[in-house]
Amino acid sequence: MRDFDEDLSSDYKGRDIDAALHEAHFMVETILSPPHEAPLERRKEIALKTVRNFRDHINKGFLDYRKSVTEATSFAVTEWTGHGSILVDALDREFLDLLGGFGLYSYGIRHPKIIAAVKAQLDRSPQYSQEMLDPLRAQLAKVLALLTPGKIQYGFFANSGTEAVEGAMKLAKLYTGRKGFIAMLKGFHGKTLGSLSLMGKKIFRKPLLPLLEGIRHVPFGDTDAVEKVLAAARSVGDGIAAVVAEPVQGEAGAVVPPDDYWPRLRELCSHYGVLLIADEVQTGMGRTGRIFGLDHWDVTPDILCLGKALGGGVIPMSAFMSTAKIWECMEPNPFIHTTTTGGNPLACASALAAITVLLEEDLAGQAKRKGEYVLKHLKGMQDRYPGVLSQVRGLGLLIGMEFPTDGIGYKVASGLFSRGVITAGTLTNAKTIRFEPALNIPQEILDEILGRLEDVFKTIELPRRKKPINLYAGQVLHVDLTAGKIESRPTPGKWLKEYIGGWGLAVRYFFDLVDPQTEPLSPENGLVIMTGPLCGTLVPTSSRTCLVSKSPHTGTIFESNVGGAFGPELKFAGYDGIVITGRADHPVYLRIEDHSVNIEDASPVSGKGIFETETWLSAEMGHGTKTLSIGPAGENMVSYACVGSEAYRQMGRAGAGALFGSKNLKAIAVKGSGGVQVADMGVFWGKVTQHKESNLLTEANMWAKNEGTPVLMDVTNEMGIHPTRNYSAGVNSSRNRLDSETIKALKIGDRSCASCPLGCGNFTSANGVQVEGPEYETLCMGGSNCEMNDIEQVMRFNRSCDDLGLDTMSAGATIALAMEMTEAGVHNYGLSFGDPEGYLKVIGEIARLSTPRGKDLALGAARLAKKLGRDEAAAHSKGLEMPAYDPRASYGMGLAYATSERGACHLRAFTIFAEDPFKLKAMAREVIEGQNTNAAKWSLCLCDFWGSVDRSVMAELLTAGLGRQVSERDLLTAGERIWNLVRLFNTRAGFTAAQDTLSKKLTHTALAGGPHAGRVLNEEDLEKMKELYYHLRGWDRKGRPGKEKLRELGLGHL
Amino acid sequence: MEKHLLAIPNLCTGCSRCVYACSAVKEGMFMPSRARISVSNFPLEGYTVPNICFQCPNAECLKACPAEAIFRNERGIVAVDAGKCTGCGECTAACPYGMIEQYVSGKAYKCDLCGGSPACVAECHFGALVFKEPDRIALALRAGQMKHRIKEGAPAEKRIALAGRVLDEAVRVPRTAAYMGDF
Repeated sequence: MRDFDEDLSSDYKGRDIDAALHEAHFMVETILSPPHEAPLERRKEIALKTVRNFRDHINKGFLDYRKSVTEATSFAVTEWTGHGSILVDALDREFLDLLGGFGLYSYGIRHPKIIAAVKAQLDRSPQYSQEMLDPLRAQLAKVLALLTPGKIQYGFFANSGTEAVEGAMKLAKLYTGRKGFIAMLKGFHGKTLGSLSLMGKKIFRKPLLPLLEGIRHVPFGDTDAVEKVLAAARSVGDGIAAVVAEPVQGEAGAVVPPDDYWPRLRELCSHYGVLLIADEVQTGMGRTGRIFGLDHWDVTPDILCLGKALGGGVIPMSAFMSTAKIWECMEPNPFIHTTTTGGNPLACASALAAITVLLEEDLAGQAKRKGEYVLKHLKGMQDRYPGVLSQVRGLGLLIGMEFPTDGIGYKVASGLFSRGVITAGTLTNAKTIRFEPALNIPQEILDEILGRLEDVFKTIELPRRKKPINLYAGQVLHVDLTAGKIESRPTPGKWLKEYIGGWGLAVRYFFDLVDPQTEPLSPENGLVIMTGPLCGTLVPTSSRTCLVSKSPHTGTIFESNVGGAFGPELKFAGYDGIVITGRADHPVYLRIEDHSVNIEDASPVSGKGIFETETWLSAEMGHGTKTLSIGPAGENMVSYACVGSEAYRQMGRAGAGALFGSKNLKAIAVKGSGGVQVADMGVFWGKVTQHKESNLLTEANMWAKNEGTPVLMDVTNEMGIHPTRNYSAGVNSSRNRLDSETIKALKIGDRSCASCPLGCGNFTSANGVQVEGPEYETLCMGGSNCEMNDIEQVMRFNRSCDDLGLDTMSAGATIALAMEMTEAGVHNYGLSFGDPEGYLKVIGEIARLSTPRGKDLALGAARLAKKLGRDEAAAHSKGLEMPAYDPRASYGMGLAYATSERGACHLRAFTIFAEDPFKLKAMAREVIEGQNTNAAKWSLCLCDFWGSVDRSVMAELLTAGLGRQVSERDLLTAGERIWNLVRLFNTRAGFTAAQDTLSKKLTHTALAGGPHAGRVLNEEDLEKMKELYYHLRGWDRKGRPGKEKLRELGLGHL
Repeated sequence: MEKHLLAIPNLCTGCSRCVYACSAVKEGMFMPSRARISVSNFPLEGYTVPNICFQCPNAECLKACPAEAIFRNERGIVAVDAGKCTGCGECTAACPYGMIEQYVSGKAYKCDLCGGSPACVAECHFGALVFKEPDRIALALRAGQMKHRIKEGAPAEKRIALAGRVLDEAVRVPRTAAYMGDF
């Protein structure tokens, strides 16, 4: 916007008659030249002069509020000309008219028939003599008498709506001899002193008190309130002349009363002998879809006020009308109410022509149809933008859009303005905006306006709906894919305390959600995705997101988590987690954009890999969208399919991808614009910095930053626990081809999860194959275990699994088993140790179930071994393939695998660094301690690289963030509670101590090679550890949580 | 010579600590959408480009502001006087890097280098953000990033378009290391 004060300093210096003449000529000349012929420079001058004149001679205040000035880019928008539903400003900028001059332009701007009649009358006689009888006025009164309902027969014409109301009030007082009126709250009848008395808004009324006495206000739509006032007035002797209301409240934002409102008002007025005044200034002449608003309810008022559109949008015109009986009171002295200009010939010509247009073009019918069309579309938008448009209502083309705040309404109004749509809505009064175009607005303009309106809605940033609580978003999304229902519900505060977040909270939700006997791939199974309280903050390694469900791979409850930035984004969108149930009837994705959450069609990426799916989702929702998605493996429900995020990160283990597939859920995509709040940012940041510097970015931790997980290649090989050649050996003699030095040589960049200063991810590149990784588990399961000592092939394996959506660990373990079976002559899968061809080819066959071999390997190692009658060849617990730490030389890991809720998993307790890994009693204790601590850690959604940090730091950071004390003990108890709750679920799912075991491969077959060659973890030792473990946990000998323990943990009721 | 904030995309890991820190300092909460710095992440390509305000010598935002609410302070920082800002959005449209945005109220906000001690730099543990008097190489890097001027779109769209061009130009030759000879 130009600085007008500077450009156009005031030239007004008091009286100057010559200047007055000059200025008048200026505009007359302008008027006389055709609108489009004035040179641009002159029109710019007029635009600037108009602002100056408003400032100096009309009211400066308007300039502060009008969008046409405050939003205009360089020149204020100056009214120039218009036609139909299009306005053109002085600089030839076009605007679509959604405002319709507040109902003035019902016939559009400059309707040719009306203009023609007025021009002709102008050449005949523009005003009347005041003495002769004027034919136009008389004829218009007759026409209106015929047009209006009931016995309304006489009319008086004035110039503006407020004059009509003034006249109606006088008539009511004259006729009844009483002075009181009942008007409606939020009603609007004009701003002259009489009608202002009826005004239902403090802002216009209060500064001018006292106004007429005897006025009472009641809520609009409430006939009981009207009756109470009428009865009370009668009982105290106050006279009420009339009840005044708008059929549909216009200024209040197109408020439609209940259906029985007007009939009942009519009854009440007749019963109490008071007049009923209908202010149809805005609703009359077809606006609401009938000729008059009251026609909707077949009610005849005693006095009818008309205005606005009555004058055809050309000449100002208003009227009040009544019955012959009431009118009698004005007959003795017809001069009791007169006006010089009201009902002048120009206005009457305009009104008469307008009535022909109204009837011939069926404007009421058009208003009805278009109004229904608009309401339908706006309601759709209301569903799509729930935080933007809070309500839509109206009748015909008198429609109100209500927004949660003036701020949002003004954003909409100004957004429309900048897109060339004129509407009302000022800085201070924009909570409701009227949708009030010409009744004959062409359909294509209407659609264009609706399109631009939706464009505006898309850009509206919403303020936070609720005050967020510290660290948590406080809301969880509940999505029923069968019903297509989405709800956001508050997270129970008690659960947050007892289960922290992440794993714990997800387990708690899941426990109530799914019956333990449920078939994992059925629609009855649910899945719970949950972030942790520290997610989305500067706390390092805090961004993991976990998923809890019942596994199709193991049949147990399980948890799987992923790093990256999905979790933080979900929290920024306003949700701690998502609970998903049911099954969609076609491939869909869940689209979350702050408060706008929708289930959308995903068929364009059906059958596509995760990489392409992510790219597609980014194109759909914009770059920076964070996603969880599945590839063909998930869609085909391969029981060890993973859920991928950011290309190379996965919820890998136990079949989260198959669960997505079983629900026809291709992806969840989220964009969030909110934030995470902490109790005291200074204190919190201090704790984060202290923790980061003293615990994470330390010399001892630099392996994570410099090498990442591949450093474990050396560690586990030295220990002799590195699964090699389908878990037959504990050492890979060619490990130097897969070790961290090899990775370093191929690394072209470091990668981090959100908020992680360690950046353990190695982005590697070799001969055209690029991947983030391979991580240790992939190097071992897809490398050593398959004797694939060629890093480039392992990278290809890694990338293919990531894209197709397979867990590299289960895939590597299963392929290794198939290699052994082939070489042992049990079944020829065309796979052999170290041979890259089949190794790489079979991945796609598994994911797509495209060959018999692929289908076999898709069973996973345990089921495949069983199918081949070689149970003892697979290394697993509860069906989950064993990770890359051999328990035969690390007994604690054996107990950890056997007792883990999801089978052989190294993320529940990690004892490989124990002083004496064969000491049974110590291992039992260490496993419990590790499991409980890790349960708390996964509930905080921290990364395993927190490993070197103790629980006290977790407690400190939670305390600082939440602003309430959380102790180390609280965390440990929460961990134990979670561990017991998942156990309870598995018990009810039919798992007992008998399944807390390791496959025969580990208990009966000795390790070949390495420092622990010849060792097994025999069943007897495992049983001893288990016995102590159950005892220490307070469980019975079958591994079932005891009642006492459950009570102690507050789980007695479950 | 005055210090410049420099972004070195080749070293960025996409951790976004800069973004979190910025919003914490400026908004009192972790809210990346309100941070004055952002990162454009390309996970599939394993690359991330930090989007920074260059405090342009010939700042488009400053020139575009009709209310003279944007000015260059004594440290050379292009700053917004919120009191004068009318929320017209001209600056947001004008910035070719998408680095000045508006609150719901319309008021503009942008990077002010935390007055000379940028929190983002302190949180970058990978050397991808530095604040120093630039040498020849740094100036060339900065010039290379500044030459991509995006005229159209919302700020986020401009940032990603610019980052995409930086990625296209990045030297990402796969290192085929010595191990190749082992086989």
